[in-house]
Order: sequence, then structure tokens, then C-alpha cells
Amino acid sequence: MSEPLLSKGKKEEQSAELNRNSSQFTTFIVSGRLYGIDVQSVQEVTKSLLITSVPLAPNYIHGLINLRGQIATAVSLRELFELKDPPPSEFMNVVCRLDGVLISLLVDQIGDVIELNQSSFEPTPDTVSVKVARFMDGIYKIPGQLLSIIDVNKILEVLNH
Amino acid sequence: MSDIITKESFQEFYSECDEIVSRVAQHLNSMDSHKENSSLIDSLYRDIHTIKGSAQLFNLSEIAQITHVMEAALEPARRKTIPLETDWVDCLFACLDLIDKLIKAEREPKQHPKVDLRTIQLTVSRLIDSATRHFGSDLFILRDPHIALEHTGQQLMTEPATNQKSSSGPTEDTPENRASDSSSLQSFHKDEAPTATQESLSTIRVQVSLLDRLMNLVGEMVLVRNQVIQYSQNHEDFLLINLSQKLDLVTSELQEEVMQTRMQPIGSILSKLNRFVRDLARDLSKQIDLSIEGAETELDKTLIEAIKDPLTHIIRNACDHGIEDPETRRAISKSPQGRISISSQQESGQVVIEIMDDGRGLDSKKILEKAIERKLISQETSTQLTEREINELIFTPGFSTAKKVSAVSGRGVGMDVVKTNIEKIGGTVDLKSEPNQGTCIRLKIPLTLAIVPALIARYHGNRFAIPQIKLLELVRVDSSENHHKLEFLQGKPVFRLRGNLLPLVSLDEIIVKKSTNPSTTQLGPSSKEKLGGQSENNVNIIVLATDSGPFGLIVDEILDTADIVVKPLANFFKKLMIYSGATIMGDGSVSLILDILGIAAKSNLNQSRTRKLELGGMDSHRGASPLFQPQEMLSFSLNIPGNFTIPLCLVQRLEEFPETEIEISGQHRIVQYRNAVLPLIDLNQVFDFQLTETKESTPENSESNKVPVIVIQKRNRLYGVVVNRIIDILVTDHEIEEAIQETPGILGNMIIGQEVSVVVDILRVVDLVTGPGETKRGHPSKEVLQKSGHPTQLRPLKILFAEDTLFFVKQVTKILTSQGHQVTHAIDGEEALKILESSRPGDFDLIISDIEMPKMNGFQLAQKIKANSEFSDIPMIALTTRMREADIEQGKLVGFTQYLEKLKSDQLIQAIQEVSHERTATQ
Repeated sequence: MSEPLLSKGKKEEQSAELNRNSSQFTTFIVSGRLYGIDVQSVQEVTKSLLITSVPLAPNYIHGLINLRGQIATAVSLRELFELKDPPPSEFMNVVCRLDGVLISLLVDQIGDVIELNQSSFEPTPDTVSVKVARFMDGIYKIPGQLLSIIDVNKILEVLNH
Repeated sequence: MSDIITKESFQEFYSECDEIVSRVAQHLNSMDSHKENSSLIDSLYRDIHTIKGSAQLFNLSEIAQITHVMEAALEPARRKTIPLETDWVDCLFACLDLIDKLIKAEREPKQHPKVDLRTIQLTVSRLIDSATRHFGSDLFILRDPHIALEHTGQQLMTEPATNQKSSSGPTEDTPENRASDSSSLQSFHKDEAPTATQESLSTIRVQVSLLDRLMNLVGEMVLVRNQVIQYSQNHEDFLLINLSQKLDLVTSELQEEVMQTRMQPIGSILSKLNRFVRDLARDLSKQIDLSIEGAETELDKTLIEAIKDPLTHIIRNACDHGIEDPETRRAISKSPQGRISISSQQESGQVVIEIMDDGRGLDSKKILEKAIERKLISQETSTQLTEREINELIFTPGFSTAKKVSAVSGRGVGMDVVKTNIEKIGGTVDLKSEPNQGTCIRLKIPLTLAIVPALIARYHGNRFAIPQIKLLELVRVDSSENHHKLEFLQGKPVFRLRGNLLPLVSLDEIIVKKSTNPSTTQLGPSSKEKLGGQSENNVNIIVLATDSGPFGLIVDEILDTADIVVKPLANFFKKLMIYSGATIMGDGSVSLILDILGIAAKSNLNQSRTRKLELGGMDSHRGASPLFQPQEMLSFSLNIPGNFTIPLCLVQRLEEFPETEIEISGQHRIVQYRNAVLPLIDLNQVFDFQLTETKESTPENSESNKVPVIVIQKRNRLYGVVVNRIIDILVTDHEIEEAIQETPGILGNMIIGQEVSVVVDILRVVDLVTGPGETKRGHPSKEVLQKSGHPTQLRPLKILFAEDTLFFVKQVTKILTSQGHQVTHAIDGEEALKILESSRPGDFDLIISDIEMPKMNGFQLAQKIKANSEFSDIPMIALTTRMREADIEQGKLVGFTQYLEKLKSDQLIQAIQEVSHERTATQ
């Protein structure tokens, strides 16, 4: 389980040495918008898993999933970002590990892992709704699209209050 | 040599030394008690010798030197059987301490200060002096070239370096030593070598972290096993079923064995206590003998660590406060040597550790004084506490005093820390104490923490795990049985469990968190439907224990019991309060583990208690003892302003009847209820309260046209008590204070919250209304009151009183003590019997017992008492609400001299008077 993570990490190290100004991102789509997370904080991506709901938890916490014997908290980005459109019938899981906590972000669709140069980065414009902006690091301009970078630590902060 | 001394081999050496040091300490101790024992000295010698060898190998010259002197000091004792002197043993102990310190300083130089040379010299020369005194001229120490050096410090440091060259292994001695030693030493070497190798073959050292990982993996494997079994059960493949059964077997065994690897004998900490007690006894100039039983009992390593400090604290208390000094002991004809015994044993998945001393026991008077002084209890409650309740006070936070800080105890960390620490690991603490007989503290510790037995329950499609440690019992309520029903009190479900009202909590209420308005859901059928719901009016109740008493959790279905592997939840779930973790079920899905205390708090089960405690100026931590259980009172309003209450334990049901259903039969108002006639008693009429213009009562009643009725039972008959409005259930700690002016049917006043409430003597009211010659407007004949009113002159009796309902305990105790009697209270028949059995003849003159009690009821108790010739002649009075003919008859049959109804103080006093007369007559 930790092997793919390791190799990813190594790869990242190498590429970082090659080009200090670029980073890799796991991309995904929620409500038709493109988001990205630093590949180093992503442990794995899986298809939808059985979720045990946690009564009383905030609505963006869909519940708990069993990730090969470890328990991960499923957080729906749609509810977290307070998006109103109907959810898909099936979610994909982007599993991140932070301070020993496993958080699985529920997203609509998984995109590619892409490498981007720092030169195309810009801070989040002030006009972006704070509901989403509070989880964002900034924007990467890629051909034909804008990639919103999500900081998982900020999500954890909100979860922990 | 440098290639031998790697970091690991140092680690190895350190842990070996730790082991040996604790073993040596143990041996020194036992030597202390069995003065002469050559085999002990032999093994002691061998151990010290091993340290010496290793120390030389690792170039730890100070340790080598000290052990060498110790060895030399032991040498004469090995050859001769002469009684050993304490002083000599003490010196050896001091040396051992030094070694321990030196090793620690070597291992973690940052945390442990270096031991200075001067101390080493002093200690060593003290040992030599002592040994010289002890063994006289025979002492070869002085002839030993090594030891002669100890008078000059430098040599102590430099000399061993020359030794190192030749030493090649821990069991080998230096040639110089060997040359100077007697032949016995050499022969001893020969037989030591093989044992050392044997030991190293049969055991290996493993990192605890490795064991932890193994444990986790086995946990995973158990889950996979469960999944395989479930899968195989759905398939008719015999090979698969067969294989999965084998897998099941092997996995279970593997799980057990891996658990076993983490187990350590409890003796590893108990043996350290030996030394501890010894030192304490010396410091306190007391004589204390410590005996340990069941040192081989095994516990999970983490738990062993966790109980170490609490245990030490208990022992320290026992030595300091428990055991008296020798003179005091002699004065009360006890043996001057105090005894502390620790015993541990496994008992149904738990380890029970008992620490007993034969000291002075707890001084309840002093405890009370201190508790009042520290504002832990109020003056008035203090008078109502039983002995056991008082003893429990020492577990209250803030009880322990920091006033007399000594090296021994009184450091401000008290028994409350012991209690919280033990409870943190899922254990319990019990305490019993007899004045001048001693104190016994009982710790119950679970065997392991990683795997917890739990109950799996389903609620609204979700499965939840409930740790069994808080589980009291499971109740299934079949609503087709009339008298076993859920009832609703202000919209809140309650259930009558063996006569006591059990508050119920529906997970619904916690999880869905509807804002229920009590006035709208009150007694309505809607709430019943809500609960009955899925299981066709059968309700499953899980009865759980909390500090503030039991409560029932309503679930849809109880599925199974299982050993679950507890997985921690992410931090942000903690604020939800109701989950303590999660676990993975056999089918691979995740289940939440419910936090029982959190649920209790969430459903306000603790809140009324906290509020009340704050008002009383008390600590909210006061604990689990039933003694502190507050009384619950049902409050209602009547025509005149003010709160009226009756004890909740007397209430059968709360109902509302439409005005139109009330009929008149003769002089009584009645209503048809449960296929019978329910006579109604209007309290306003009984007390002759004229309607005054209060806002609350009239308009509401006329609006709804419903009459609120409290249904109570007396003599197996139901009565409906008509009030204006039922207000609430209030919880109070306060006692009933007698009213200034005696009014029949009024028990007295009581402070509830911040208001004064009038407590109605409802059973008496029923008498007033239904009794002969008194129909409705009951002005009772004065004689009843007069009888109970004037104090009677009779010999004070020692009374054993068995009763489980707190309200009656307090009431009856009050009546009895006001008459000068001495009351010992037992919570049920079983306890009463225990108290009797441990009593001496003449300890009790009279037994008063309730009939309906848990564990052992009054009838059973009476039979047991009559069957025992030792106390069969003690008269017994039954005090009960069970007043059917058959019951009375049975009561007489099993040996009750009197069969009385509760809350009739006059009858009780009279009955006791008769007993008293009889007793004086016969004696």
C-alpha cells in the first residue's frame, strides 16, 4: 500500500531536482470544475467504496470507509464547497493522508496527473466565492482551462475547526 | 573489542542489567525475611557477578567496582550460614541503587545526572564496614587487592581499566579476581555458564513496536477471516466451508498467542513494591510485612505500565496512613508488625488486584470533617451518608490534602488520580474499610485494550458497537404484556425496571436531534409510535451504567456480541461526543463505537445533576457511588401557589383524562382505566385548597378539558391523584425538612433547585381519603400523629435495614435515627446477608427489610436468615408496598414478625417498640 506512494514521492523528488519550479498535481472534477491537489499529499485514488454514515456529523462528512483495514473519513467536496447541483450516482475517492489522518475526498471524476510550472501560477482572485476560496492555494493557468489548487491542510483545519 | 561493542549490544546490556537489578532487589528482599537461605545468596551472587562481568566488558568501571565489592561482601555469607543483619542488607540495597543510577546515567545521559564519585566511595566503604563488622576477621575483602584500593578515589576509577584487557565475556571473571578468590568461586563459575546459555536459547528480546505491529496485523487477519466465513456460509462449497473453518481455528489461536506475547506477569511491578514498602517502613519507623500473591497473573504490557503509579500510590497510603506505628498497634493488641497483602488473579476476563492492610482503617469522622472543610459536601448531606459513602469521599478530586507534604504521602495527588487513572484504562476501584481492622482496595483491570468485547446493535439501518464494560443488561419490552410497557413522562420515555424508573434514551433523539417540545408530545400517542416503529411495538433496551445511575438506550435490534478491534477516529469526530471510535465488521463495513458517557451527557442525563451540584457548592466529579444518587421528585401545582412534589419512585404512570370520562360513584370520583375503576383523589380537596386566581391552573384546564392525573399504587390498587398541572421531574440532593406545622398528608419541605417545594405524603393521603370514617375531606384523627409525635423511651436498637430505593432509605433511616436507633444500611438482600454473616452475635437487634429488591428479595433474605442458627433469633420486620394478602401471608411464613407498609412511621415505631420490649424482656 505504501509502495506506490513511495515511488511517487521518489519521482517527485527527482523531478523537483530537475526542475525546481514545477510541481505535479492530481486533477479531478467536481460539478464540472477542474481542481488539483499536490500529488505528494495524495495516497491513492480508488473507485467508490461502501460508506458508513456518521449521524450528527456535518453534511459534508459522508461517513467512514474501510480502506484495507484503515478507516478513512469521506468528505464530499460538493457539500464542502456548498455547491447546489445534483451529485453523481457514484463518487471517486481521492485519499489523502495528513498527520496520520486518512481523508477521502469524494469527487465526480478523476483527471490526469499533470506537471505545471510555477510561472503559470497566480493567487486566487478575490472575486472567487469565499466558500471555495478558503480551501484554495491559488490558480494555475493551463491551456483552455484554469486549475484551482486545493490545499488539503485547509480542509483538515475546517474539519477540526 | 570495539567491534563487539555495538550500539545494540549496549542496549542488550542495559536491558539485561535492568532485569538483573530488579531480580537482585527481589532476592535481597526475600533474604530480609528468611534470614538464612544459601540458595538465595547463591543466585544473588551469580546475578551480581553477571553484572560485574558485563560492566567490565563494556568498560563501565564504576559498576564493575561496586559489583566487585558487593560480590566480596556476599562471599562470606555464601560459605557460612550466619543470620544476616539488616544493616548489611541495607548496604547492599544502597549499592544496587547506585548501579541502577549509573546504568541510567550511562544510557540516557541527558535525563539522568551523573553519579558523583564521592557517593560511590561512601556507599562502598559503608558496605565494607558493615561486612567487616558482620563477618569479622574472616573477611577476605581486605585481602583482596582490588578492594584495598577503594580508599583512594582515583584508583577506583583507573584501576578497572587494567582489568578490561583480559575479560572476553560477561560470565568470565578477571584473572586477578579469580586468583584471589577461594576455590568455591571457581566451582560456582562452572555451573553458572550452562544456565546462562540455556536462558539465552529459550528467550529472545523483541521490540514492543514489533509486537504492536503484529497485533495490528492479526487484527486485520481476524477481519479477513470473518469475511471468508461469511462468504463461505453463502456458498455450498464444502471444501470452502471446511477450509474456512480451519482458517477460523488457526486465526483464533494466532490471535490468542499474539495477545500472549504482549502479556507480562504483574509480578514485574509488584516485586518493585517490596523494596518500596521496605524503605517506607524504615522511613516511617513502622514494621510492615508485604506479601504478594498471584505475581504470575498476566496483563497486557501497556496496562501494566498504566497501573504502576496508582498501585504505588495505594501502597504508599497504606503504609503511611493505614498501618499504625508499633506502639499503637501493641496498645490495641495487634501484632506490632503491620501486614499489607497484594493479591492478583484473573476473574472472567479481568484481572482483580486486591490490596489489603490490617491498619486502622478509614476514619469516617475525619473524612467527613475534611470533606466539609473542603466544601466537597454540605453539612446537612454529611449526616445522611452511610459508612461506605463516606469512604468513597476519598476518591473525590480535591480531597487529598497538600498540607503535610512529606516524602511519603500527602503530595496533593490523591486517590482521585488513582481512580481516574484506573478508569481511563477501563478498570474500576472499590474500597472497603473497617475501623481498626484495615482497608481493602480492589482494582479490576481489563486484560487488554486492543480488542474489546462489544454488543452490536442496529438502529435505523446503521450498526453500532457498544462496549460491554458499561453494559448492565438487555431488556426486551413486549408491549402486548400490559404491565411491561414503556411509559412517557413529559414526553420522555421511561421504563419501570424492577420497580425503579429507568430513563430511556432513543438514539433517534440524539442523532436526529428534533427540538421536541415537551408540552406537545406529552403522553401523546405520536411519541409512542415514534419509538415502537419498526419492531412492531417490541422495544429493545440496552441498560447501561453511568456515574449518575443507569439509563436505557433504545435500539431497533440487538444483533450480536463480538470482539472488536478498536480503531481511533479522526479528531474532529470527538466534538460530536457520542462516538469513541470505529471498528471494521466481519463484512468489511465500518461501524461506529458509541461513547456511552457521551450519549448520557448529550441526552441531559448528567445535566440536572451538574446543575444541582453547582447549587450545592459541590464538586461535579463526585462519583459513581450510589450513595450520591440524587432523589428524583415529580413536581406539580395545586390551587395555591408553590410547588408540590412527590417522590418519583412512587409514581406508576402519568395520565390525562378528558373531563367527560370522569364519573361519580358514591362519594368518589372515578374513571375507567385499564379495564378497572380508578378512584380519583383530588389533592385540592384533600388539603382544602380553595381556588385562588392563579393564572396557570384554570385556563389551561378548561381549554383542554383534560385532567392531569398521577397514578400511584398502594396495596396493589391503583389510585389517581388529580392535580392542576404536572410540571417536571426535578432532581435534588437535599433532604426533606419537616414542616413547622404538622399537616396530615404533608411530609415536609424540600429545597429543589432554588425553590422550596412541599413534599406530599401521598400514601398517607390515600389512607386519609379511603380510610375508615374518612371519606373525602380528610381531617385525620389526631391520634395517629400523636403516636408518632412524641418521642418514645426505649432502648436504642442496632438495626440492619435492607432497602434499595434511595428515598425510603433516607426516610426510614431518618425516622429510626431520630428514635435513637443505630442503623446499618444494606442496598439489597444479598448485601444484608453479607453484613450479617460478617457480624458478631449481638451486633444487630433487629432486621428491617424491603420485599422487592434486586439480587435477593426480602422473602429470600428472611429464609436465609431463619436457616442460619447464628442469627435466626433476630426479629425481622418487613417494610414494603407489597400489601396483598398472599404477600403478607408469605411474609409471616418466611419469618417476618411484622409486615408493615412503607411510609407509616407510627406503625413502624410501634412495631420497633414492641421488639424492643421483647428484647429487654428476654435478656
